Order: sequence, then C-alpha cells, then structure tokens
Amino acid sequence: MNYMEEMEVIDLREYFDVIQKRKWIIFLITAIAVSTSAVVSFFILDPVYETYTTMMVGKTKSQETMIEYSDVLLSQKLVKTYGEIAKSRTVSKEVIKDLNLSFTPIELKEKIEINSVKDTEIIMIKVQDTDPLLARDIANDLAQVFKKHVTKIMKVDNVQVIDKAEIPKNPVKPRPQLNIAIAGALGIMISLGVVFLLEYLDNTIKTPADVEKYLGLPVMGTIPLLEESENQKVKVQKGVKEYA
Amino acid sequence: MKNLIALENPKSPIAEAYRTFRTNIQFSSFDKELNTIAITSTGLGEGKSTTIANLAITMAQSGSRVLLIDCDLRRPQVHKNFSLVNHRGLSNILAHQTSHEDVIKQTNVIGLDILTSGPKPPNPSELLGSNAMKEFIKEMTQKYDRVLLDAPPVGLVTDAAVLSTVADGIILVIAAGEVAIEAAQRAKDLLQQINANIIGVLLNKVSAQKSKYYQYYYQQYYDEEDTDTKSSKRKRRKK
Repeated sequence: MNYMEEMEVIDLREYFDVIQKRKWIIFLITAIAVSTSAVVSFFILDPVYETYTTMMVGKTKSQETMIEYSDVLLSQKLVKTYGEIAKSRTVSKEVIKDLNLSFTPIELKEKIEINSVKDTEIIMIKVQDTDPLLARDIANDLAQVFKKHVTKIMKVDNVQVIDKAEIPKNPVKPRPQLNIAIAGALGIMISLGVVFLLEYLDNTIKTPADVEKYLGLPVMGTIPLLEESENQKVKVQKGVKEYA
Repeated sequence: MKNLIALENPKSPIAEAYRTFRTNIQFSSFDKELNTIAITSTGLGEGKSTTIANLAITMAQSGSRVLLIDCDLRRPQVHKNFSLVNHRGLSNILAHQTSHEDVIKQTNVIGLDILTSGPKPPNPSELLGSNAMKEFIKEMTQKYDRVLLDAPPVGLVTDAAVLSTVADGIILVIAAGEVAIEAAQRAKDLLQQINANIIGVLLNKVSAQKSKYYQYYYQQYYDEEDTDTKSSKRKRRKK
C-alpha cells in the first residue's frame, strides 16, 4: 500500500517536472490565445446591441366568459406558431420594405429571436443588430407587422404590444471577459497537450534509470548542469571566502 | 582556466559530483587495475573535456599522480581548459620528434601533469593505433598512477574505438536530454564490437530539478561540517 502511494507521488512529480521544464511554451501559447481573443473582441468584432418587445396574443374574451384554463394552455401552445409567423418571409419582407433595409429576409431572420415568456401567453421578440437604433426600429416594426398578419391568419383579435422596444445602451456581444477566459482556458489546455506531446516525442536519455534501462551500463556519476546551479555556486563561493 | 570547477569551487555540489564519479571509478574494478582510462562521448559538445579535466583534478587531489593526455588530435580541447599552449604534444612524441619530458607540462594542481595534443597530424586514427602509442602509454603507466585519455566522440570517428584498445577501460559521457537513445545504443555497440572494457556511463548536464535531492544533501552535509556555520546561517536568514 505504502509502496503504491510512493509510486503515485513520483508520477505526479514527473508530470510537474515536464510542465516546469517547458513552462515557457505554456505561457507563450496561453498569452497568444488571450491576446488574440482580446484584440478580436475589442477591436475587430463590432459590438452587437439587443432589444426586445413583448406582446400578448389571445382570443378576445368577448362575452363575460371566464378565462378558461384550457384557453390559456392553448395560447401557450400556440406561441410557437406565432413565432413562425413572425419569422415568415411575408412578415420579413414587409419589415424590410417599411424600414428600407438593405438585407434579405434570411439575414433579417438571423437577427430575430422569438421566445415565449415562461408559462405565459406573452411572446418576446428579440432583435440583435450592430446599430442600436435599427435594432429598436426592427423590433417595433416587426411587432406591428406581426400584429397585422397574425390577426388575419389566426383569426385572433386581441394582439397587444406590452413593451415597446427601447434603444439598448450596452452591447450584448462581444463579451470580452468571457472570450478572454475561454481563450485562456483553451490556451492552457492546448499548450499542456503540446508540452506532453513534446515530452513523449523526446527520446533522449535523461536519467540514470534511462541509462540502465536502454544501455545496460552502470552509471558512474551524474553531474548537475552548470548553469542551473549558478546561484548555489555564488552562495558557496561566498562561504568559501569567509572561511578562507 | 575554464570549467575547472573542482579546482575553483571545490565545495560546490558539482565538484562533489565529480568526486563521487572518481570514487565510483576507483571501486568499479576489483581484479584489474584501471590505470589507463579513456573518456569518450556519443557526439560533440557533451562535456567530455570538462569532465576529464575535473576528473583529473579530483584524482590528483586524492593523492594520485595523474597524467591527462589529449588524444583528440582533431579538435583538441584540453589545453584550452588549462590555458596551455599547444605547439607541441602527443603527435610529436608519436612521430618520434621529441621526448615526453620536453612536452609534458606540470599544472599548479599537485600531481597533475598534462600532455596536449600537439599539431594536427594527417592520420590521427593510425597514429593513435600505432605501436608507438602503445609503448608510450605503457611507459607512462610506470610513471603515473592514472593516465586519462581524452578521446574524440565515438559516434563520429574511429579514434575512440582505437584508443579503447590502448586503455584499460573506457567511460562514455552522455549529456542528459541531448542524446537519443538510439545514438547512445549505437555508441555502446561500436565499443563492444571491438571488446572495449566499458566501465560505465557518466550522465552529464543533469538538470538541477532532477538532482535537487543530491544538491540538498551535499549542502546540508557541508553546513554541519563547517565550524563557522552559525554566522553563515544568520546571513542567509537576513536575506
């Protein structure tokens, strides 16, 4: 048991030595990854702004009928359908025409995200764009066009905008801190892989154990590297002078 | 003088490592006296000449009369380490141009004499394998306790193999982390093919991390031995 534990400790130390020996590779790769992602997120990627409108879609409760639970449930189920309508080409084209936009319906579709607010009949139309004003305009116009079409298609007469879109102040993308953190983590992982690969490919003789294993010759001595013990040399020399 | 740590800094862990090396050689053979030892390496720049210089010094320090001969007639190094001139040396003796008394130089290390390589001959391998070489070495073993031969790398030229027939044993210097396993195995095979007596391997340039344990050990040992330890310890603490 004790023997096993000792083996494990030695193994761990060897891993640590491998890392220690090539720590500059790890440092370099991680630094490159972090700085690249920082440059890309701060200078290259355009900031993207996001805004949203919320809408309520449901049948009019014309008479004094109670709101049935099943109605609410149905409306919730229908949110997906409403979403598809909002993203439909007809709606997109009309929005593009209204706002005199220069992109295609598919490009517009990529900027739009439609979700239901959890457990409600409310749907949320999120729009992302590099221009915060445009994002707001698209969201608001989309809501209007959607309202028009959904009334026609689904024969509902109670479509209401709850929140109009506002001009977003802060961009949602890119998120430099997140990007840098991801790049840093990736950099460390990749560089560790490189370091251990290099170690694996290094087939040189390194330890007295290697000599005995591969050559079958006795080791008469091991001489430490001169440079690395320079500090110690200085220290000892001082000592020698003192005693002399 | 360069790289002569055994002389300049005898209390350093590296000098201690050379002394351990010397002791191991002394105890490596019981039946046969290892009077003549050749040192070679697999390739260039593995620290062969530094090793042999420091080994020669530690052997001389232990009271032996040591002769260090630079047998690397192609790229001689020994005279550089000891700051000697190399106008005349081994090649002159083997060409019967001069006697050894004229060319062997004394060093300021008591008991250590050095014979430099001399001018570069056209045929180093033949010269080293000649009868003149054998007789000369035999003569020198009468005068000295240890004769150390600095041989060229075994992997590159045949000189080391030729020398191993003159020497009682040969030591292979391997620089840690620089020599591929295959290259070292080939060097060993080359020496074994001619029945050289391979005494063993000196592993050179072992990184400090791997040898931390030894350094620590030596350091502590010396600290205890010194009588003036207290003051030095206090100074270290102040830092």
